[in-house]
Amino acid sequence: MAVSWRSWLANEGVKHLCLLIWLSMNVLLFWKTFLLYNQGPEYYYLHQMLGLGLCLSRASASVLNLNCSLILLPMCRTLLAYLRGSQKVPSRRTRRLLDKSRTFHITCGVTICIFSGVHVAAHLVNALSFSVNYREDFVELNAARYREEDPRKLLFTTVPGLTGVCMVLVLFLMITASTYAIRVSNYDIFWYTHNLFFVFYMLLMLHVSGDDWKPYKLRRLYFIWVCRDIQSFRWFADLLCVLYNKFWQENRPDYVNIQLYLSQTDGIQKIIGEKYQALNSRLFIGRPRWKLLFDEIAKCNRGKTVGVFCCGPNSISKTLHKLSNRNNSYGTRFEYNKESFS
Amino acid sequence: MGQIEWAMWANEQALASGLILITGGIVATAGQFTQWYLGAYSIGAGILICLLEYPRGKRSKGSTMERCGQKYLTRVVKLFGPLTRNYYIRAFLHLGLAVPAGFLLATILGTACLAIASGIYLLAAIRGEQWSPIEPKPKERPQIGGTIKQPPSNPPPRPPAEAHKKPSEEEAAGVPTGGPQENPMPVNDEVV
Repeated sequence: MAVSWRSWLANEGVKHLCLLIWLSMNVLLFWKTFLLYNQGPEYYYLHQMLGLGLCLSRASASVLNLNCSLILLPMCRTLLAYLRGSQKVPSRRTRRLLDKSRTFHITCGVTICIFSGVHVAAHLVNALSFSVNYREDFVELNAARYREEDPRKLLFTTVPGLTGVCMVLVLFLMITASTYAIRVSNYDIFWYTHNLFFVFYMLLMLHVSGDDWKPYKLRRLYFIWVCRDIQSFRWFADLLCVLYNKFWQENRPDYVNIQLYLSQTDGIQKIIGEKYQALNSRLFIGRPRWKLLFDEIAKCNRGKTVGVFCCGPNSISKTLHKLSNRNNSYGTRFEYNKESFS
Repeated sequence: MGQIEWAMWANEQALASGLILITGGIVATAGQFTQWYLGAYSIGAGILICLLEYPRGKRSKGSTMERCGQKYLTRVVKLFGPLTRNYYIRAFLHLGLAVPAGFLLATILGTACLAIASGIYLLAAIRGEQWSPIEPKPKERPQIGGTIKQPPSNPPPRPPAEAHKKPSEEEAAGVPTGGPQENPMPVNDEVV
């Protein structure tokens, strides 16, 4: 039977176009993310440790992200009914497209299945790589806490690991109950298990936030200390010197940026002692110029999130709090945290 | 909940778990994880489970959808008699098969899924369900003339006696004619 092109376009055209757009979005996301982790300089060390597993797990994660966002939309029946009946959707073509909503839901579901498999397999290999390739130099990068840490422990004692396992089990229950044979014979099983989607989304929220386990990936610490007289610095001076020397030894001299301020003084004073030379060269007279400091930090950390931790009297706290909320032209975000012991 | 056939769901789960075990086993042996022999075990166990679970059991009410080509495996599974019919045995078999795979990271999810399937099979067994094979229906040979037994004893139905009245009387009475259909408009059979 010969196909009439006009009929085919009317019946299948828009549907295939939407499918093509969706497919292109998925391919693009996967490809871009894969390349980012394969070649991005900021992931160089992580990539050395994990290899292909890193790229596959992250690329599949971004595809999963897209499909988990889309999959609920075709099931908003009230919204669909409203669109179908309203004046906003006059054309028959669009109405016919809305009829395909359940098929689209199933397509996204199958995609989630497949890419969950890829994601889980890649992360299992990653867990093993983290454990085997543990090095003392890259402690912050490694999810493992010591060499040859049992990767099963990594799976069950980290937030992403545990939520991931639970999500796989929920997905398993939902998918096995969604086959055509079960829907046709025991619709109840399908209906009740499919309502587990709520649990799945709660776990998903926790799963992605688990990566912020260490909320501020520490690149540099600015340590600013304001005291009234010179003697107040003495009880901390030794510790600061030890830290300073340690970072010099590790070839990271600028990891901690120490600034000591002497707020009330008549003239130049110094901390007595030869070994405090490093601190003396970082001693300033007068109060810190907070605005300039924030500007400098913002400029050096464009687009990043900087944690501000204040321990002190209310006057300083108010200033820092205001400055943390202020807009800057570098796109840097300041998150303000306060603690006080008085 | 009374009418739910749990065995059917358990069957889907066990089949899926078998596939997950095979996949995990392949990842383990190919990636050369330590204890990779457990990965090889997973592949074997997974294949066994898939073969056992592929033929779907018959539903107690209504017709059952067969899986494609399942009749060959149905014959094999039927041979084991009560071993495969009884769901208690299946439940404990799956639980037993699942345990060794739980020691390896790559297959641990397969263990969890198979354990869930085992639990649902136990539930099915408690509710008295059991596996029965789907037998192919014997083909009925159409017998020519088999339904013709005797000639009809009654004449065909005739229109009622009112049809013999004059048409004008009927229109006055408002009774519809019992005769053949009279179309208000002429109808043509147009073939384009």
